[in-house]
Amino acid sequence: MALLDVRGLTKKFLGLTAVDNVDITIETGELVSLIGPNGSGKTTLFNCVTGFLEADAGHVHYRDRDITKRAPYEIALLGLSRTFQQARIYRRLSVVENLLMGIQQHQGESILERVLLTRKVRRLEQEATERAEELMDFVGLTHLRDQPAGNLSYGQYKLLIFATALMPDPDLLLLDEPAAAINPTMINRMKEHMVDLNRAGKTIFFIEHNMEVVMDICERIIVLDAGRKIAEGPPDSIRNNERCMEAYFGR
Amino acid sequence: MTSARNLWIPAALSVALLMVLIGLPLVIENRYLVHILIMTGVYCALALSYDLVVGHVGLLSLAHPTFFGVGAYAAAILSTRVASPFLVNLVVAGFVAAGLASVVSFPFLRLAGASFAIGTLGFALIIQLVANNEVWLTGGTDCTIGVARPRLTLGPWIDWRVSSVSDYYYLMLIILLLVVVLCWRLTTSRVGRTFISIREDEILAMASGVNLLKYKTFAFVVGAFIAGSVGAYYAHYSTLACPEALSSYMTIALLIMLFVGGVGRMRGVVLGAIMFTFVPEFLRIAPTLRMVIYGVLLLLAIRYMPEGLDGVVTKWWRKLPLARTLASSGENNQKAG
Amino acid sequence: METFVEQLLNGLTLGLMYASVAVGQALIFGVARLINFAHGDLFMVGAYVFFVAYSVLGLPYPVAICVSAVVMFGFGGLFERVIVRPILDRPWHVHLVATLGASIILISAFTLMWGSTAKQVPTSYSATILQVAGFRVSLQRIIVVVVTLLSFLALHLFLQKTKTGKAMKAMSQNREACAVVGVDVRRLSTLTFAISCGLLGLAASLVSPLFTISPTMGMGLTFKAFAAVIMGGFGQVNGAIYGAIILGVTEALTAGYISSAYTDAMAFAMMILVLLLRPQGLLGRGKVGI
Ligand SMILES: Nc1ncnc2c1ncn2[C@@H]1O[C@H](COP(=O)(O)OP(=O)(O)OP(=O)(O)O)[C@@H](O)[C@H]1O
Ligand SMILES: [Mg+2]
Repeated sequence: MALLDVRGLTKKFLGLTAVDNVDITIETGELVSLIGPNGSGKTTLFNCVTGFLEADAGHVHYRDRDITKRAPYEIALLGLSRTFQQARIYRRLSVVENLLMGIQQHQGESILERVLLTRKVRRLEQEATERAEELMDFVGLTHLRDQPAGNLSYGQYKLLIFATALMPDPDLLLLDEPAAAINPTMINRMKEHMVDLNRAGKTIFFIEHNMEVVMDICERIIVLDAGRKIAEGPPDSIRNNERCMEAYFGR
Repeated sequence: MTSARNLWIPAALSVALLMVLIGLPLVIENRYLVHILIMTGVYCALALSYDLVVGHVGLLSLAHPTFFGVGAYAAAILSTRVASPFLVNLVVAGFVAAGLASVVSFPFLRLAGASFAIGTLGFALIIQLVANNEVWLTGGTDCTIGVARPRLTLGPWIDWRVSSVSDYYYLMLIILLLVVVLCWRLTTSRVGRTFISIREDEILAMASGVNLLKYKTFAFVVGAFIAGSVGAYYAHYSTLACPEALSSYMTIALLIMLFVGGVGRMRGVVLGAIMFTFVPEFLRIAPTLRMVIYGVLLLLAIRYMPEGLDGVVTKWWRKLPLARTLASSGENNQKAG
Repeated sequence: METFVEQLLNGLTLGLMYASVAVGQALIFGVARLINFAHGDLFMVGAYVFFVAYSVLGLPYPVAICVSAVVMFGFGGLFERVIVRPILDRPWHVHLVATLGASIILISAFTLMWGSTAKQVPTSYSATILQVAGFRVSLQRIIVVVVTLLSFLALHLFLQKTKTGKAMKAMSQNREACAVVGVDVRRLSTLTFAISCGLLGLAASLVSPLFTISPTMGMGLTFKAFAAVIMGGFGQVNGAIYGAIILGVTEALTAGYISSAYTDAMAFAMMILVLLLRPQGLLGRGKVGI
């Protein structure tokens, strides 16, 4: 049974078909990348999968569940973590609070319990903080723990966002251009993190423009052009696929 | 959430402040001054509950005084028609306001940003019309008058007939304390963090698994509950409920308290409420002139103090030598521990 | 039948008054992406300027109208420079709070200057009754309808034909692109305020003789204009005019046939209906949160 199964997904914007009848299957434990020229519909596809946009046609199944019409927060709570291309972050919250925000809704206590600050809530907060410390350590942001996230550099943003997405220990990680617009050192760190995680069993599906990153670490690549899936396969087959190379570098 | 290290400083300060507040009516002879203190308390409680909605969740509701007024009318009508006791009125008024809030939140919370503000403004205007025109219910412009003085009884132990101004002051103090504790709990807990996540970035909040509608409704309804209860107190204090309790001037006054004091910061909001009830009353500035001054201050505050008075005070405080030694000793403690 | 036609005409004048405020709000929202909570109060200012020019200084009616329009044109520009410009780049809630602050300053300042009691500014035309096709109509109403419609036509031509007007229209369609192409966004914003306030001055001098004027008259106007703007689709000038006229007529008919206490509630009810049934008219514009 596939972890994520997208069937015939279509999304139109005022006559423009941004995603056109796309099928995608992601199995547990895979590291898959989605590539394609600017405006080919990658982000739109992510938005449809995570409930931020309503698809015009097609279905999205996650572990046998039909999540096509689910609200974004419900999908997130099912264990599908995503990041945004625009590097969204809670600027006025500290680094550690950003991380805590990544998990606290998943822990499932009621508002009343929260207000009463019951022992259960305190324990959950404690656990969450421990996990946040671990992840700060993992991405190397521990020294910025109590800084407002708005003070971070762009590269640190990206690391924080990455770590925040990991907080709830999601079964599927959807990353929208995790390595875009950061310096080569940061890119390498990001690459290593993704590989490490994948080795540890995490399923990752990410959008990326940097071909080097994609070719280096992915087992499988999906290529989108003008909303259509034009190719799919291991890095070598994509490199040798004329149609893909044309879509990317041709025009 | 702060560690236990130098919690004793704020704790000691709070206790000292509480002692001062309890002692105040004993030293103040002037009853008018005590009345101003009561009004300051009313506005503090209102501003704090308003800030839950505006400052924390980021919903710019323009109907907050409406819930205050509805609470006042609910208590006044209950007290004059069925002679129900104060405590019952306090709670029922809160629930009436909260019920109304949950009914209107259903359509309004689906509106984005400014549409929400305009929608709530329209709602506020309608309730004003009802208060003015439904004479059978509200007494219209003649107000609902003759609200009973509160009497609190608890079995054979307590029988407190609230009659003097200082009695009312202590009653207000109790209510204000409850409101402060509730707001503090709400804003410093995980609920508060969720609120702020919504204010900061709704889209990201959704991706963090936040059910926006649930939390927005919760803040809106709790804010209305507090406002309604405070309204009930106000009706029992002034012994009447008038359409003025619903006026848009209240909205403006509250907005000023929030934005000049420091929106989203409890200390700032309280500071703002004190500034804009106690000071002008104390100086006896004419109401109309006061509104001009308020307006100008609001514009200046928005332009030059985006963090409000509280932001300014905090900045000054950090520069003081005392604050520095405190902060560094705190850090040392942390390192040692 | 007779009263029905009279009510209709009442509603039309009322609607045109709302329209003069709504048009400005729509224009300002289009160009500056700002919701002006003080726009109705600017109408009030216009009414008082007219009152001073006509009743206090005793200028002839047409001259007083021009004085009011010109003064308000300048006042609008000033308002933009002093109140709006410094906060134009801040988020929408800052716009709202700042313009609400401006509103309260205007209301209180005019109460201080002129007292809170309502004033009447009758002209000789308001007492002149004409017989049109068997109906009795005050000449003032006819003047209101004709001149206001002409001013809207002039605005329409300005937006369609002149370079500046076209730039304003383009702004409301795509603000970012305009800034990139090199349109001077700030100058346009000042001009938009000036023009919409000039319109207010004109409309206020036309309508004031039919109603009373008071410092607090603006708040209700602001709100009804919002209702009209929302009904017409946010930022659409023509839509705002239609919305306002529909609102005015509905209100007059409600007052005439149902109850005069709840005419204001009609505006609210219609607005809520539109907000709920067609929220995409507001949300469809993109990320601004409107
Ligand atoms: N909310 C929207 N409304 C209208 N059109 C949209 C919207 N979002 C995306 N589009 C259009 O859909 C197409 C696909 O956009 P999308 O953002 O999915 O591309 P992308 O592959 O992520 O591109 P990039 O590599 O630049 O991020 C583009 O033409 C874009 O202009
Ligand atoms: Mg994209």
